[in-house]
Formats: sequence, C-alpha cells, structure tokens
Amino acid sequence: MIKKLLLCVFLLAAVPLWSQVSVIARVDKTNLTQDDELTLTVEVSGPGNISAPQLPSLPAFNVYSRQTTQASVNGRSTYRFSYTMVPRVIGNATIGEVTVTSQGKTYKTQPIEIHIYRSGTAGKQANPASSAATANPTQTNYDSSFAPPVTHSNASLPPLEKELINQAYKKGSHEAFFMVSAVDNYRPYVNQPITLAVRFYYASQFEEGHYNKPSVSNFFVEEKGSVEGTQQIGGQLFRYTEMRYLLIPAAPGEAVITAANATFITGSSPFALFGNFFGFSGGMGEQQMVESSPVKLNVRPLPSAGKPASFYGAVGSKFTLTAKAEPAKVEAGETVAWTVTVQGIGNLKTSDDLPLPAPVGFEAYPAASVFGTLPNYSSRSYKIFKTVLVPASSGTYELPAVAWSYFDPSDATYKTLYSPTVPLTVTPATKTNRQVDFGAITDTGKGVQRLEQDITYLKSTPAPKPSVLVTLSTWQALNWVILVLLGVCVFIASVGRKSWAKKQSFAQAKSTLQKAKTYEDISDAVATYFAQKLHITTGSLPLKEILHRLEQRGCTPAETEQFARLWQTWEAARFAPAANGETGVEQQAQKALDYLKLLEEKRK
Amino acid sequence: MKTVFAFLTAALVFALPLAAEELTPAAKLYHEGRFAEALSAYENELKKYPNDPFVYYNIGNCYFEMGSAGLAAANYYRAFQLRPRDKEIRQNLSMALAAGGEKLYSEDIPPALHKMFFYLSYTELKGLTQALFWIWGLVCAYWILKRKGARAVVLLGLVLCVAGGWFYARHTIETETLAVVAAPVAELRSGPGKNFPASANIAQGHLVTVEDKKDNWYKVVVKSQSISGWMETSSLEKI
Repeated sequence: MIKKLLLCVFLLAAVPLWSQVSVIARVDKTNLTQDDELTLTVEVSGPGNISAPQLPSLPAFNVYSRQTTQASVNGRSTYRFSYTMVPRVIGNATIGEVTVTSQGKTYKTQPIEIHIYRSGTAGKQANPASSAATANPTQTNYDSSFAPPVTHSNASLPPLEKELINQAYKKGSHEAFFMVSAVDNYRPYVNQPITLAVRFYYASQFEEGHYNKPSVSNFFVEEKGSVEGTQQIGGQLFRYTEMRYLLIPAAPGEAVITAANATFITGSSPFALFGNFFGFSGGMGEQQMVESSPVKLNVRPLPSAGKPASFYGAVGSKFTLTAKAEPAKVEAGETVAWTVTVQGIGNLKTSDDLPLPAPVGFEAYPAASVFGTLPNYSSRSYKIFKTVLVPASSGTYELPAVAWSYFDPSDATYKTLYSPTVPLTVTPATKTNRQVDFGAITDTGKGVQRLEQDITYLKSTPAPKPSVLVTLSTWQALNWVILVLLGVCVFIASVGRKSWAKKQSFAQAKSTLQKAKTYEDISDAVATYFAQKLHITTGSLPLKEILHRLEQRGCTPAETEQFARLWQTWEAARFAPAANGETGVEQQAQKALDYLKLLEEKRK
Repeated sequence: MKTVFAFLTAALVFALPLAAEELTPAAKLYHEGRFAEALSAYENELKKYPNDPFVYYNIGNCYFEMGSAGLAAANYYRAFQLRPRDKEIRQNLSMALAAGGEKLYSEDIPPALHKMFFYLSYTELKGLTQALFWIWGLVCAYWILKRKGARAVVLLGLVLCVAGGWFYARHTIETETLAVVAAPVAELRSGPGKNFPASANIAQGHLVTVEDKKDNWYKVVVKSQSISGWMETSSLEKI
C-alpha cells in the first residue's frame, strides 16, 4: 500500500518536470584573442516542437555560422544550436540572455562574460588552445571592422606558420579537403629540436575521419597535441585541425618525413545523426583520402672544433644554470641534497646527465636526474641533476661551481655555463659516541695553567731524506750473495780441500820420490800418500796393522807382502845405510813409485 | 772578487732561513683556517713527494682541524710508520687516537720501551738487519777459510740475533692490515651485509685490524675492545 502511494506521488511530481523546458547556453572559452573564434552552444530540451532561440544583440561579435542538431528520446527532444562567432572588439563583452519560447512560456539563460585580448598578449598565454587560431588568415572582406587580414607574406608570422599558410593557399583554391605539413627548420643540427606541423583543412563536413601520422627514422618523436583554427582562402572559410610533433634528430645526414594522410567520408546523410546516436555509420557519402607532401631534411652534424669537455649533448638556447644545497646547514654524517638545475629551450630530455663531482671531505651518492616541461611553455624544459652528499667532518664548505655546456644553433657556437658555488655549513656530529678528553684543566700553582692540548703545527718543509738504512733495505740481492759466499767457503773448507788433496796425493808422492835423496824421503812420500789417499797413518801404526788396513782397502796378499818387504828395506836402510848409498835410494824410490802406481791403477 | 764572493755567501746564509720560513700555498691556506682547501693542496703535494711523512702529517692536521679524527689518525699513522722517531708525529697520532678512545700503546708497556721498539722504521730496521747479516757473513767466511776471528763471529752473531728478533717482532706488526674508522659512526655487523644485525657502533678514530674482505665488507677486529665483526669498506680508511 505504501509503495503504491509513493509511486503515485512520484508520478504526480514527474509530470510537471517532464513537461518543463530547459535551456542551457555555454561557450567553449571565455578568454580569447581578437583572432580567435568562439562557439556558443544553446541546448534546449523539452516536449514537442521547440522554436529556435532568439539571440541577444551581440555588438562585440560577428556570427557567421549556425548548426542545429536534434535528438529525441521517449518523445522528449533535445535541440543543440551552435553559433560560431568571431570577436570584433577588444575588451570585456557580454553575451546576453538567450530567449526560447515554448508552449506560451519564455525561457531565458544567464548572461555570459567574455574577455577578448589583443593578439600576442598575456591572455593568449592563458589559453594556449585559443592561441592556435592566431594563424587564422582572414583575408576576406566579409567584415572590414574585424581583425586585419593576415596575408601569406606577413613577416611577423613564425616561419612554420608562414609555410603552412602558403601551402594552404596553393591547395585551397581548388580543393575542399587537403593536408599540408611543414617544419620550422629544414637544416637542423643533431640533437636540435624542431617542430613538425601537419594540418588537415576542410571546407565542408565529413564523417568517420581517420588520421595516419607521418613517420621518420633516426629521430626522437614526441607528440605535442593538436589545435584547431580557421583560414580564409579565396573567399571560402576553411577549418583546420593541426597536429604538432617535436622531432629531435639523432644522426646527421639526409632524412625524409613521410606523408601523413587522412581518410574520411564526405557528403551529408539523413541517417548520419542516427548513425552517430546508435553507433552505426550513415554510409551514404563518398570516401576520400588526402595526404601531405613528404618533408626532406638535411641534418647537420655538431662541429667537433671547440667542443668543451662539459658538453653533454644539449642543443638549444637561453639556458640557465642554478644550484642549491638542502639543507644549507647539517651535522657531520647527515645527508645534503645538492641539486643543479638547467633550464631553457632545447633537447634536455635526450641530453646526458651532468655528473656532479664529490667535493673533498664528502661522500657522494648520485641520484637520477629529473626532466620536466615548464607550465605554459611547451618549448621550455628543465632538468635537475642531484647528488646526495654526506660530509665526513665539520667546517664551512663551498660546493664547487660546475660547468655545463650546450650548442647554440643560432650562432653555431658552444657556450659554457657555470653553476654558482653553494655555501654549506657542517656542524660537528652530536650523534656519535665520540668522547674526546684533552686532559683536566689544572692549576699547577706556579703561574701556568694548562688550558687545552692541541695538535702540533704543520711541518713547513718536506721530510729529510731517508737514512742509509732505508737504502740498504732495498739491496736484498746481497743476502743471497752472502749466503752463496758462505756456502762456497764451507765447501772449500771441508769437501773441496780434502778432495783436492786426495787428487793431488799421487802427483805429490811421485814428485817427492823422483827427488828422493834418502830412504827417509821415500818413507815420508809413501806415508803421505797412504795418509791422503788411503787414510792410513803409518807413523803411529805397527807394520802388521798397516798391512791389515791395506787388505781392508782391497790389496791382495801378494801386494801387501810386497809392501811389507819394501817397507822393511826402507826402514832398515834408514837406520843402517848400505854401501851403495845413492844408487840404492834411486832403485828403492823407483820400486816405491811402481808400487804406488799399482795401487793408483787399482783404485781407479 | 773575494768581497763579492763573501757578500754572496753571506746573502745566501741569511736568505736560507727566510726562504725556509716562507709558507707554502697549502700552509697558507691552513694558516687562514681554510682546512678543506689546504687538504686538497697537501694531497697534490703528496703526488710530488710520495711517502713523505711530513706531508702525511700535514694532511692529518687538516683532517683533525676539520673534525675528522679518524682520517687524521690514519694519516698520522702513515707518517708514524715512515718516521717513528718524530716527536710531533707521535704526539698528534696519540691525540687523534685518543679522540676515538684509542691509545697508541697499551698502558702495560713502558713508554720508553715503546719508543725504543719504534725507534727505527720498519724499512730502516730491515736495512740494519740485512747489513748486520752481510757483515756477519763476511766474518764467518773469513773464519771458515782461515780459522781466525771466532770471537767476532760469535759477537756479531749475537747482535744479529737481537736485530733479527726485533725485525721479526716488527714484521708481525707491520704485516697486519690496519685501518681506522673514518665514518662518524660505523656499524659492526655479524656478517657481510646489512641483513645481519649490528652488534656495535664504533666511533671514528678507532683502530681495527682487517682480516678478510667480502664484496664491500671487511672482517675486522677492534683491538681495544676485543670484538670482531664486519664493517662496510666505505666506513674504513686503510693505512
């Protein structure tokens, strides 16, 4: 029951709302220049037929076109009346009340305030979209009081605008749809940003437009948005849509920007509105395609002569360099952000980062650079280079000036900027557990009071030359020489000396025996040979023992017996000399020599 | 002619002390309190006079005045290693170490003994030991060949043993890799990474012995505290 009552109340309330007429007036911009166009849209919705709205007196504007669209939903119609206007005067203007009469009732809209500025003033900057219409070359005679006609030879226009307008004049005299493209610099340097503009002009309506943008290799391409505007060509008003691109050449040489094109359907269709409304195409017009001309460029290399070390690839103009440290006062061990900002017109986005040096006494941690575009200045950009510093000790520092260079294409020279030095105060760290004790301040009682101990002053001269001991320490090879010398001496003193004597024993014995005058000489020569060669000391041993040792050293019994006979003969002759003195000595010496030869051969 | 010569000699004699007292650019900066700039200048001088103990000493002074006792101690220590007899180097090193709670030598060691032990630098001691060895070798060679001078051999051998022992003791100290904590506060961790917990905060100026290295971490022993752990290489200054 309650639900039914609520439904009745709702229906009773809805009937007057349903029969009510609503009128809304709005403009696409409230700030514009005298070269801009303004679109006033009046939207009227209500039941049944609705008459066209009555515009107020508009002394500040010229209305030169009107469009009407209609849509109906469940018997309620919505009419949209669009008026395209251009301002006639500079200053504040008011679009007064728009009046609509329906079923005997009159509906009025609120007045709208409009601000019209002179071309090229701050108002233009405040609304970049409207500024695009400044290229409007209204070379017509439809209103002489309106803005002065802009001809294609107007020298005040930027080169890109002039180029586009000139191309449009050539095509617009015999085509209703066409496309032009141009760049603001046909001979850029590597890394020098240039602007490519593609404009699609149309003098009548079209549908289902599809745009294919141009392509180019070896360039960084960035879309910079689109603007719309109008241009009078041969007495006919053309509207255009302009697409802008920022191009940065990456390599020198010839380059071609391919043609852009657009496909669309021309002609009006009675079903077009329904097609738009219900999402299908009218499909009754003719499909067309227009395309721009390719653009040829000659990219010049950057001159290698005079290229500074601080050049990181930036090409442009009007750059400035600033620097700061945040915070400007820190404790030792705390972090400081040192930033250097470069700003100007150019390709900062593609240039390399500026490496900030680590000042003495600081640890540096470089951070990634930040790139951005200045608001309201699409051509001006900035890049912030940052490094985080950690001072190791307290003191007053000055972060150094940093050099940064760029190439200025206007005069084809490299220019170097220096960031300002940045003062930085570092106070002693309070977050350490360092405890310095310089000793207690005590009164000695003798008129001297020790206040504070400090380090001793600088050494004003280089240190004296190192002592000779330092030089000696480098002669390490001598250690080996001494070791070798000791080795040689030991060898000579022990092994070498005995071996030599051993080798020389027979020769010595032979020499002695050949010179022997007495039996004693013979005995001594043989005894020396025995001692050196056979290690038998004959002087302290009895004959029997000598013979025994000879046998131990490999002598046969016959040999030992022979030696025994000889030895006894020599001994006897020593103590009882024979009559045949010298002859006997020579014979015995020869026998002794023969015996020693026998032993020598045997030992070999 | 004699008069001219005498005049020139006198001028030279009087000019020498004046020239010696003239401040170098680095000393001038130091004198004006511009320690950071003086430090940079002395580091340039070090390239001109490598291993000059006085330049290390002056660098240490700059760091000390800038409040960085750790880096000051490291540079004083380098000067001390090259010229241990210098009183001023010893004094400043003691002060820089004291700022970090360290001492040049233990209280158990008599100062005179420490001074004697460090009277010669390591290279000087090495040169002395080598020279003694050469002399002893020659005397030995003579004795071996001629069997004369046995007393000299024994006497020199004893001296060589003393010098050799002294050199060996110094060698064990010198071959240790020493470092000084240069960061204001360095964390001692249980492993080579920040994921390991910090066991101690070590103030700058502390002497440590480096035992191992892994990536950017040193394994160290803080001798005065008898603790060990891992420290970041950036927080230490190797001597």
